[in-house]
Amino acid sequence: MKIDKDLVRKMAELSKVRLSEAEVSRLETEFSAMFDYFSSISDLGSGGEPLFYVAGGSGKRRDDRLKDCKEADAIVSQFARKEGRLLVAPKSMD
Amino acid sequence: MEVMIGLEIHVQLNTDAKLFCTCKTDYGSAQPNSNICPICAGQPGGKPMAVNGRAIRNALKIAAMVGAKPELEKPVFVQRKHYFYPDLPSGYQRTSKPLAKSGRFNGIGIWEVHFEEDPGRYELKEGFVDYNRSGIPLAEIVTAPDMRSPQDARDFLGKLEHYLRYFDLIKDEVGNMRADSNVSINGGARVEIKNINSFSNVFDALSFEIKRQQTQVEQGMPIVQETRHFDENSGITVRMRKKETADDYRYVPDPDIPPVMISKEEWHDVEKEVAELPDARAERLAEQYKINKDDASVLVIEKEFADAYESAVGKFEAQRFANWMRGPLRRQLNYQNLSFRKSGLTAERISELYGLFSSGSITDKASDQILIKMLGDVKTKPSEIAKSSGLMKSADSAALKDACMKAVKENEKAVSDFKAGNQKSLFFLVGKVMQETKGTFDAKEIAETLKGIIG
Amino acid sequence: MGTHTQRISSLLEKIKAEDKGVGAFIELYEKEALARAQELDSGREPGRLEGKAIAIKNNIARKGKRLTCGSKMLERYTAPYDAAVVERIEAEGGIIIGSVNLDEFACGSDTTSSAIMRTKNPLDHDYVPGGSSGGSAASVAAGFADIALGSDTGGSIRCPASFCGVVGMKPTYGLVPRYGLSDMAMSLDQIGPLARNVADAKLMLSVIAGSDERDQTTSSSPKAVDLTFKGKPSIAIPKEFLEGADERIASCFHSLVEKLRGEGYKVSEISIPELEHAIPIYYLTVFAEFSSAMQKYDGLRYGEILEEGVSELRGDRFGLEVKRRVLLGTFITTKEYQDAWYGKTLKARAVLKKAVDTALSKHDLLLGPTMGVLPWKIGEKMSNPLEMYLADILTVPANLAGIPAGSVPFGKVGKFRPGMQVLGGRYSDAKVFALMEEIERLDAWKS
Repeated sequence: MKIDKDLVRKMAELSKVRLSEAEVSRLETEFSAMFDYFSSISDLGSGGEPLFYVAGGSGKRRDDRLKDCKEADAIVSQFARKEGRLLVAPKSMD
Repeated sequence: MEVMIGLEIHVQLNTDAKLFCTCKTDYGSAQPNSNICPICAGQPGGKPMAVNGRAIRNALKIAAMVGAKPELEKPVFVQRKHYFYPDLPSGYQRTSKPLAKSGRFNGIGIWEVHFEEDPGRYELKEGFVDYNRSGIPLAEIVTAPDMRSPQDARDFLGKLEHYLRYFDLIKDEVGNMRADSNVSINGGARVEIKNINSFSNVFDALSFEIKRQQTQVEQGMPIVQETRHFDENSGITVRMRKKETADDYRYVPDPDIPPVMISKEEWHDVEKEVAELPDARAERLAEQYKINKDDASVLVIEKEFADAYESAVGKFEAQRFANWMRGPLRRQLNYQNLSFRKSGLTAERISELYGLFSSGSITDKASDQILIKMLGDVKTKPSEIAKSSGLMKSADSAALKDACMKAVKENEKAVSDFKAGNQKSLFFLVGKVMQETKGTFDAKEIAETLKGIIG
Repeated sequence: MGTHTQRISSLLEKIKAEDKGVGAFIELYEKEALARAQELDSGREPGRLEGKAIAIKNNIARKGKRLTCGSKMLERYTAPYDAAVVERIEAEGGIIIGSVNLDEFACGSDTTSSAIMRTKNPLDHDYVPGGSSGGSAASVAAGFADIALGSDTGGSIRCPASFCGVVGMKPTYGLVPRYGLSDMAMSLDQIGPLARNVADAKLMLSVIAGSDERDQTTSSSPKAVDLTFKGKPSIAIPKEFLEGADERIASCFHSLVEKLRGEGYKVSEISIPELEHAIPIYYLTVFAEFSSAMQKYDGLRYGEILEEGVSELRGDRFGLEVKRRVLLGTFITTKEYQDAWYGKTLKARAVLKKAVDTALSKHDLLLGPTMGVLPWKIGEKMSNPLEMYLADILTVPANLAGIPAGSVPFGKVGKFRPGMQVLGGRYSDAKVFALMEEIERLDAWKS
């Protein structure tokens, strides 16, 4: 697995995490070492079923009942920007 | 020109609570951000509760309704679909793998049906976000690109909407049915159109887009595969900024949510509940009761409406009862903008009302008036309403004569017009007497009495 | 002053005087704690916790209190609700005295990545307390709290317990509801107790365990859990647990095994070769799940003041370890790489889980040291993340298999008391505690 600065920058862009150039360099070195080490999982039998849900079993269904939303006010109070009870979001998510 | 149109339809399922939490599903009339909790507002530490059983049931009914088939006793996982957008409080949307596949509806192939949670509402202009809608259960129906014109799409959606309402599967809310479309012409690149917020906008969006593509091809420019956004106000589609459309949603199974399993018994029950589709029922009603096909199709506008007909028809002459139900009754409901389902009327009460009318105890005008009162009063028996409002047909010929005399005296011109041969003037006079006697005499009787007086 | 109020008052005084040196507490809940104590003195039901002082890791929601998760991202955030475990503690008369420090978003093994404050090992202030529940372990080791709650994804309760010389236990996955626990990795996280003795840890687990409809993964658990167990469980030692362990720790371990055999326990040596892959499987799982858990941080809802774009905010407010995990997680779940990395990981995990389950079908419990290394000095492991990851080698298997595992101190190495780790099959938490109690009893160095 070839990790270079471009790949690190691409990962940062996909994750929407801005990195400094120093961080890009540092992560390039670290990720290379990590992927070398982690690639050993290919040795461990790929024949079986993936483990999707650890607690096991299939889902119970919930009754269509209501409960009061007591936390609404506390949640609204922490919106970064608001107008009344509405959250105000920026024009772009970049 | 060969056109290929496919639709990705989102409908809000009819439930009281949200898909993964116990918040109310109202948002149209509710105060913004009031029906929210740590789960549907993406707070740290929130976890999805067990999936809303009624939502799954309704989604399965939709699947059965469009002829799609589930893989029974096999796990259906819920996945996380990741992207950043203000209306998505967790930064991912929970959406299931297909519940059922390979159906056919109104001649159009259905690829699959699955369920997912609605994001919140994000109003682009001001940037306002309301999470009341976040977490409401949706069913998504994905069609094959089998439609060949905007009209096909309109017909398809019209029928789908009818059937969804018939089985009471969708929520009564603003924006409860939306459709993204994809369209290509002459085998060219496929363009996706998003943000079509109602079924009625689909026709306009598609019409514009097809014309746009046509024009472009005529001018020698190739069609680019892209996602466009439909602007309701101007009626045009606009290219979306590339960044607004995520290339890769990084779907992973949600580790907090166990898979949904559909048993043979459950699917059997679901199929039974939607066994008779509206069109099939209309055919059966026409044949079984020997009524006009046209009347039968009006009866199946709503399931409860057809149920009421079938439950009461045994007492009456089938065609006349159908006429009355699809005529005066349906008209009154439409006028009041009410569905039969929400009107508070029952089979017994309309049966009683019609009984009074067909037996001659009340006039047709009186029955209209009693019906209006019944819509406001769901308890009192129609016969009691009739009596207490003085709407029972009167046998008081003296009163009738008095009323006719009064009408004649007060409307000399109409009388002379009638004498001169104008039939319409008689109807006018009859109307006057009806008003005066509050519909307690029927038109025929009044006309006879008037003719007797006028000579 | 009633006894509860007296006790809580003096604890609070002790913390205010001594926590400057340790740095366990992010926030003290003085007013509320004293109010609760007064209620108990006035005759309120003492419940099973009887007024014990509880510290909670600051990634567990306490309504109206800061929930920083050790991060700048949530510096200004106040939890709008109580976690299920907090409700249970209060219902049983526990007095929550404050929130304690952790690695940022629980990512780390020494608590040094916290953006809020530094925590030191009470046994020696130059050394790390372990992590990510460093504050939880330190608060108990320093005598500030009777019992603490931590969270454990790959050893985050057991590692600090071992480093600080206290008891720590990670319950069966799905036994304790995670409603109110900020996610690190959803399929691995579990809330558990830390205490100065096994009895208190066991008591706390009995209070917080049991199904809750707000965390579906608990639906197979009973409503209330019975932790009584009588008898001598059979024990197996996977040889992989001792490979590369510090010989001083190994020496303590071997003397424990000798004592257990002397008490009549059947102790066998086995091998689980699949354990070799535990670290890659663990970290790849963590990266994928953690990056998903961090998607919600877009600057809109958690008390931030929005001045910049989303990428700037996330670049600015996330620490480096968090950034590493988010980037790697995003990467291995992209369409292009998902099958090769995340897909393989899910399959490999199934294989490893099966191997561990098989071993536990033949023997009641597995035994080994909790950590193969002694605590390192503060700042020592900052430069090489992979080295830090490898320190988890003995603790991650329990999380990967979803099984209970507890650490109890035994023996002495310098100032430190290395932890011994007991693992059991799913829902055999009672058996795990039984052996932990035995080890505690046999420990000549217990305080």
